[in-house]
Amino acid sequence: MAAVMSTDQRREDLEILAKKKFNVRIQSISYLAEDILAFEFVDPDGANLLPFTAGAHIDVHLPSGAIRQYSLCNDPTETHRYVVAVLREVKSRGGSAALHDEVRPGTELTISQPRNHFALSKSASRHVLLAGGIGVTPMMSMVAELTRRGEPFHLYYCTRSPIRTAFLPQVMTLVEKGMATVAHDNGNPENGLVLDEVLTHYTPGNQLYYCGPAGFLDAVEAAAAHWPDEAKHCERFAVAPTDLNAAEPEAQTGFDIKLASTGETYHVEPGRTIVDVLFDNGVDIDVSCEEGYCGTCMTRYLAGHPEHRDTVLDAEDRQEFVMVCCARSKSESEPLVLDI
Amino acid sequence: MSQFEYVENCWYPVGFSREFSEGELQGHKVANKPFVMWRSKSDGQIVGFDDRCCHKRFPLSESDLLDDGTVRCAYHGLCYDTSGQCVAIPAAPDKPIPPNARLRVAPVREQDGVVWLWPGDVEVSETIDPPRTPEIAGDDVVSVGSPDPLHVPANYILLIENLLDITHFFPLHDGNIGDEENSKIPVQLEEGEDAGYQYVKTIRHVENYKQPPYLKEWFIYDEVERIHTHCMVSPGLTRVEMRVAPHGELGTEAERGYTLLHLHLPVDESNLIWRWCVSCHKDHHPLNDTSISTAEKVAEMFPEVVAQDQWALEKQQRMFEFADEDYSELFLKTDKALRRARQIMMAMQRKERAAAEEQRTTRRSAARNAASA
Repeated sequence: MAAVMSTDQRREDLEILAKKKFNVRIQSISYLAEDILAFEFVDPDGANLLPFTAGAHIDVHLPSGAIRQYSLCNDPTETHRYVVAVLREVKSRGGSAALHDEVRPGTELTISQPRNHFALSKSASRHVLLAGGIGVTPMMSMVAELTRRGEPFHLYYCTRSPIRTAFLPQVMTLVEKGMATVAHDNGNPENGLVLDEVLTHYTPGNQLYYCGPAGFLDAVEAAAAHWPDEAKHCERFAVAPTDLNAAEPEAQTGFDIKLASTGETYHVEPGRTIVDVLFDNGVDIDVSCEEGYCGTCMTRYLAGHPEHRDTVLDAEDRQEFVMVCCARSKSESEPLVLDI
Repeated sequence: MSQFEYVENCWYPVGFSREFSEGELQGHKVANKPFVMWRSKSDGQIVGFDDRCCHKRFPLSESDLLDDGTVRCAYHGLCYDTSGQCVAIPAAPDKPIPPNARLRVAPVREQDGVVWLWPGDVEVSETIDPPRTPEIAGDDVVSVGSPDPLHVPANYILLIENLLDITHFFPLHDGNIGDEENSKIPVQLEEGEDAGYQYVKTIRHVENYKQPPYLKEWFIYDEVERIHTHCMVSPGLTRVEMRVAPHGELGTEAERGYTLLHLHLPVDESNLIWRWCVSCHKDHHPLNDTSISTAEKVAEMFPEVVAQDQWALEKQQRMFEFADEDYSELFLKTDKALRRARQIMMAMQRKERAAAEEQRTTRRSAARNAASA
């Protein structure tokens, strides 16, 4: 495959792969429901985007430098666009408000390649999809995929009221076919869907997927406690990409890194990673998982106090190495000195 | 990982000295480039060039080495001497030979019983020598090399990682060297620079190690103190050393062990050539057969072990045909040296690509300046 590509082309491709980030243009912004907008991302040159699977999300790098994760809601067979639906949160920490208020059609943004921690099972006899509010976004791509596969599913969709319900026309079509249930609680969860009833019976072969605000997920988890772990799939919103980064991005503080080879010091702002800052300054580091389990970015450090966020280095290794894709520094004043 | 292909600016071992006999043309592919090599009849030196005849790119390695020491292209008969200069063009015998009628030279060195070729930037080759391999041709050792070069359809970084990693001995090598106890010995990592090469070395030092039967046969003792090291010397060479002796006697006459050299080169991004050479002290014999040297005994077991590695590497390489998507390899503590080796090779590749890019830019702007002048 590489044989037919020019070296320059290959270099560019490699750079994209290495960074797993690329630019997209906002093709359209459309109104889905009160405080919910859909953003359609396309390649600025009209090329195809990397393929994704139902349930996948992307990182969106906002103009402020903050990074937010959004599930893709379009049909995974579409290769020309990614679509995300974003609720403008009342207590927005800068992500949803920035998208709603600052971004216009034509704006270019940086996103990551799609990743999927919420994939559909390939061996289920029936899929149960439970969406709370904006948590419906990954479900929409799942519905498209399951419809194509012809696999049985039922979507339960809980929102406050019809005017705050994204994708209502599409979901009503499913309701008419008996494949979806919509419940509006008008602000009082007691009036909403009775999760205990929905989840009373676990039938082997059933797979449960749930996504929504934290309170909704906690309620589902309580009601589905008797379901086996391997039959449950959850996507939590409004937290950083992994449990490792469970601290809210805004709770992160900035810190400095210093390169032993050049003596240069760079500042890592809250919401950004060491790898981001190295890339910005022309220092290439190989990364792969970006979540601290593959070890590709393992880097020796010579001074400083890293806050390790990987899941693979042991106490002894942590005295010497740090996974720079996810690590931060405990010290705001003293730089983390990297042996690069 | 998916973006690693090979390092070009490196000395790669294209064979043992004994594989190059006079009067024989050899074709080699290294780092996806074709080379012709032969041992000169006049002075015994080995020369290497681009394998393509400068006229119509016919492979010279499939042409003829004439009695006068020149190579004659089998297509139109252009002849080249051992400097790569074209000395005869049969179709234009009375015309001067054009200045560009010559072969691009590939740097070649023969040293310590190994022939090295440099597929990359010729100027850079002058800044560094091939690593030394005194074990192959030393006076006090017996060395046994792999009978034939081994071809594996895998990227050579997979082999280098395999060689730095003995935690795969069980289960992959179960039945021969598959000693599960090996995997449990703590690993120390050492890194540094030697003769211009950044190396990575693992050290496994163990006391009161009860040797499994095959090791007892090789190194005679029941229980030993052992130092086992694996070192990526360069992208072309990995050195494995095992030193065993009764407790406290390492470094004395009682010490036994071997040096195992692995010579590896990238044919292209998904193929490699592998040679090995095991060396033991010339006076050492296995426990139950004093008629042969320890090196010969160790070498007996090797083809089977190597075949298992070949099998695994080929299977592993095939899985790279699938897109990573959100797949990433899991890191284990014992993979530290593997990761560092990979990072070193990735950095070498990145550095030479940046240099090549800079050269291209310089050439382009020079061409533009010339055009506008």
